[in-house]
Amino acid sequence: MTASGRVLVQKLAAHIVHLLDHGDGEVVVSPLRLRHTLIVTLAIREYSENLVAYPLMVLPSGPDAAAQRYLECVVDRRLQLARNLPRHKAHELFEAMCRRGAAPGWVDAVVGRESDAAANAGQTPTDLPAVAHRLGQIDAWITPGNPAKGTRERLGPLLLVAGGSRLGVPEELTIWQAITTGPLKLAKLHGRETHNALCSLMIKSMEVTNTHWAALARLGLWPVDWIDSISVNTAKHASAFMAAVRGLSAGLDDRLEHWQTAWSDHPVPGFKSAEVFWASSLGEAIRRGRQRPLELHDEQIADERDEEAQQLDELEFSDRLKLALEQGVIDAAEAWFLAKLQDGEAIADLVASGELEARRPGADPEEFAAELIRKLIAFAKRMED
Amino acid sequence: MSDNDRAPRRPWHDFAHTASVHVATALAEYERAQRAALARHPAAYTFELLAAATEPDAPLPSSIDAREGGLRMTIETQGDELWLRLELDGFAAIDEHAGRAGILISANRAIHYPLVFDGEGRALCILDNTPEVRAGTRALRIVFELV
Repeated sequence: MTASGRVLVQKLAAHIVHLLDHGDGEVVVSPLRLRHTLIVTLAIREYSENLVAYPLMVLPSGPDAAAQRYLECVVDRRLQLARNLPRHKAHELFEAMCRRGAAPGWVDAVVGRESDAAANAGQTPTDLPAVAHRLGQIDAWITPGNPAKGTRERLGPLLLVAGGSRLGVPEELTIWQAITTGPLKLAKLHGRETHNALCSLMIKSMEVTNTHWAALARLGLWPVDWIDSISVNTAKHASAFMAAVRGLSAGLDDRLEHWQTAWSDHPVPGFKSAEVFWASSLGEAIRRGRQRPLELHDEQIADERDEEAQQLDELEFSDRLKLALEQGVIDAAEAWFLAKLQDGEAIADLVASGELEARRPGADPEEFAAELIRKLIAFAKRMED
Repeated sequence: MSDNDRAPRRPWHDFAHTASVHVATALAEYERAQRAALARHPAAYTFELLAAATEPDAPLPSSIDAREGGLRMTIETQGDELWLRLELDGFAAIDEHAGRAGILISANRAIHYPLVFDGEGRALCILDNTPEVRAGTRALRIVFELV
C-alpha cells in the first residue's frame, strides 16, 4: 500500500462519508464512536506513516496517540473565511449535514448571512433545540485578523435557518464541529449523486484543513510542534526552498552554500537571508528532520483554490475523460479504470475479474489509482495554475 | 458576495476533483473489503466467554472480566453501548502487539470492529448493545493487520 498524502486524505474523507451513512434506515451519528473509528483508521500503518507522519513524532508514544494529535491539529482546527467568501468549507459541510437531518424541517436548512438567510414558514425540526445547545457550546470568539469581522459588518452574522427558526452560527468552525453539531439522526444518502456530492464536499473540507499539517510534515517536522508558530504560507515556501536545495545537493548532503544558491529563486518569507534561515530554529529543525521527511510532491498538498473545484456531471466527466485520453494525459488503461469507477464498479471486482491485470499487468490497484490521481492533479496545475 | 461569486471555473481541476471523488470512494470501499478479508487470517487471540454471561435474555452484569493467554478483556455496559476494554497482559504480548491495528471479530459475525492497541497495550471497542452483539461477545478473536 503506497498511496500517500493527498490521496490518503481523499480516502479518509470517503471513509468519513461512509461512516456517516452507516446503518439501516436512519443513521445515528455517535461522535464518540466516530472519533474512535477515525483514530483506529489513522493508526493503520498506511495512514500512520504517510498521512499522520508518525515516524516524525519526536517522542513516539504509539500510532494511536499520533492519530489523536493529527485529529486535534487537523479536524479540530478552526477554519476562517478566505478570499472574501461569506462562508468557509466547515460552514458548507455543517449546512450539508443539517440538510440530512431525519426530522422534518431539515431538508431545506440554510447556513447563510443574515442578508440572504430569511426564515421560511416551514416546520421547525424537533431536534433543533439540541442543535442549538451544541452550537451554543462552541466558542464564538473571532481570531484577530480573521476577515469575518468585516464580513459580519457588511453582510450580517451567519445564521442557520431551519423552518421558521434561526440560530447564530460561529464564524470559526472546525470540520469536526461541522459534522457533529448538526442533527445526529440523519436520513440515508439516496443514490450515487447525493453520495458523491457529500464526498466531494468532504474531500475539499479535509484537504483544506490538512494542508498546514502536510506542508510541515513535508519539511520533516513533527507538525504538532510547529503548527502554531509557522504559518502554512511559510511552510509551503520553505518546502519549495528545500526542494531546490535537494535538487542542488543531490540527496541528503546539507551544506550552507546550497542553501545560499537556492535562496535567490526561493526565499522564505520572514527570513532575511539563507544564512538567517539556516541558523534559525526552523532551519535547524529542518536540517535535523530532513533525513525522513514525508515524501509529498507539490500537487499532493492542496492549495486554497483547490477548494473551489466543482464536481462535473456524468456527461461532462465522460467528455473530459475522452479529451484527457486524446491529449495523452492518461493512457487507455487509466481511462478504462476511471470510466469503470464512474459507473460505480468496485476495484475488488475489477481485480477479481482479471480485467485490471489484463489492462495493466502487475499493477497494484491502490498504487495504480493513487498515481492516476497524482498525475491528473499535476496536469491540472500545469494547465491552469 | 455569495458562494457563487467564485473564481472562474478550471475544467481540468474540476475533472481531477471529480476523478478524486470516484477514486477515493472506490479505494475506501476496497480498503474496507480488504479489512473484511483480514477476518480469514489466523487469529492472534481467541476468547470464549461463559455463554450465560451474555445470553440475550439474561440480565447483563455491569462488567465481565476475562483473561485468555496474553490478553485481558473487560466488558462494561454503557447505556445502549457495550464497551470492551482489552489489555495486553505481560511483556511479551505488549512487545509483540502494542501499537498495532487489528480487528475484533465475533464468531457470529455481529462484531467486526477495527481496533488499535496503544503503546501500553490497551484498546477500547465501543459496540452496540444489541442481542446479536452481546451473543457475539461469547466467541471473539483478534486478527492484526499484516506487518
